[in-house]
Amino acid sequence: MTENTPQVVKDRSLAAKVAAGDQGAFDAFFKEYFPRLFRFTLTRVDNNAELAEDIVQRTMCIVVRKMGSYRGEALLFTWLCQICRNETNAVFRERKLDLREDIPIEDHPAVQAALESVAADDGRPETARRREEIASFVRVTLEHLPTNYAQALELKYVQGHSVKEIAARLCVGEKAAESILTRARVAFKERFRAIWNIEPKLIVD
Amino acid sequence: MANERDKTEHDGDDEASLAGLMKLAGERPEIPLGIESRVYHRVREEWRSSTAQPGSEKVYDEVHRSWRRAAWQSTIFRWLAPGGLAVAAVLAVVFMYQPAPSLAAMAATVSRTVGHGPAGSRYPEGASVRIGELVSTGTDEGLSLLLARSESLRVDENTRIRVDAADRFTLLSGRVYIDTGLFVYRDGGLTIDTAFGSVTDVGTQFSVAIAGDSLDVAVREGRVDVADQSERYSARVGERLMLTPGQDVERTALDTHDDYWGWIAGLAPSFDTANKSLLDFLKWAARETGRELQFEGDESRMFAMQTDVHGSIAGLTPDEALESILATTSVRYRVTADKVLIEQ
Repeated sequence: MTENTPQVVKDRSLAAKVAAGDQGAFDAFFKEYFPRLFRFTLTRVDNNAELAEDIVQRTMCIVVRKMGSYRGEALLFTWLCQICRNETNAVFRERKLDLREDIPIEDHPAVQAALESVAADDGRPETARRREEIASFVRVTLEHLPTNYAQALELKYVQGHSVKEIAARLCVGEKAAESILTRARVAFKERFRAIWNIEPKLIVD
Repeated sequence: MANERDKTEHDGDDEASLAGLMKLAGERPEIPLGIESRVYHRVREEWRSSTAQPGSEKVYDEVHRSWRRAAWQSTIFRWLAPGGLAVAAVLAVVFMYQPAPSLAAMAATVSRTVGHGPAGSRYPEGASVRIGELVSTGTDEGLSLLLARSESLRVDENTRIRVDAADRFTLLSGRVYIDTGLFVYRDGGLTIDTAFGSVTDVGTQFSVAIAGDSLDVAVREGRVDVADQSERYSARVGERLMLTPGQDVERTALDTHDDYWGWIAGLAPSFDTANKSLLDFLKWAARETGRELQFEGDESRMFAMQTDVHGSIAGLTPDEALESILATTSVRYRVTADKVLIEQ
């Protein structure tokens, strides 16, 4: 049961507006959730963009029809992901495809072992594969964060931008950018822990 | 001290872990705009078909009720503020058996003024215009009014217009332009009465002018109905009607981007860029300038929807704002006399 966090309150309000037929709210909903859901799906369909498009479209069509029934029991994105998982399974069944056994999904029983096995870059193919899986875990975690948090982390750690540059990219002041980064770090660690049941630092130590 | 050092080291570890993980993950894949655009259109269709829109009458009733509530609350608050003073004044009036002053309902708000003549000082931006008022402008003056249902009424120089109701005006002289927009909560058109006939809109942009002994009606979008004492006419987009008593109606063509419409640009209500996308802005600019907005493909349309507009464009005409905003984006575009084309 999710508490009435600011995000849930925002989600509820957005869902209500979409359900009421507000075009601006629909656009905001699509803009926020389509990229996250698409990337979330890509990791589950072996980066097959055509398959991901089909699944995400089906998922979002279901969600917009059911939007009026969203009560904020979970975050909107969590709800979308749940429906997306069901649709992924349905599409795989319809197309008679096999779900990959080693798809890096959060309920994978070997997740923890995989995470712990990638400490060393020893050049072995299975290590490289594990590293790619970890990368997928990180990307999935990022998709569970608000867009500006994920963007801030990417700008800082992947692209190496300064706080000033991040502020410019996010169209906020430097102090606000610092605050976003701080909150993004905390949120990332919390989400990572919640999804994968492991401390982020254990992976890279 | 030791605790602080531990904490610092712990934070440093966390930072290094996070940096390591993020580097390992690298940049998230870009999503092809074509895919995003296709999914957007299909989901929007689904959403539109699933969103039960109540009948316009029902919506209008609800909106009317909320207006009445708002008006009632506003009246209460307006009169509570002066508090005892107002009550005392009213009581004094009652005791003196004098008729209570009548407060005419508000019909519009001044959203923009042009020129520095008496109209500007009489109607500063934000001022209310009430039913029964006679609004007039002098030479080189103009007024832009935001009506109660979000329509825009622009008053050209040397014009006199009387506010008969929130949706009914009498043009005594000069010229006005009306943009009734795409506002859905309307149960009837807006009417401009003149000595030569009445003009009623059917969701449109149009102008009405009194030119000597003639009524001059031009339509930039949609349709208007024109009625004089004996006949009824319709004028559609791109048409201009000239009605002169005792003569046949004269009907001519008028482009939506003709110079004839130039005077309204300076009176266009400012576009508020807060939380607006480039697409919202382009739609506004195209509508205000009478141009058609075209995208070369779904990708460019999607890009416009996803790009936020920043910065103020207050005080700029729609044409100036268009150049100013587009120059700050990475989109390739062409602005011609009749089109705003956003290229791939």
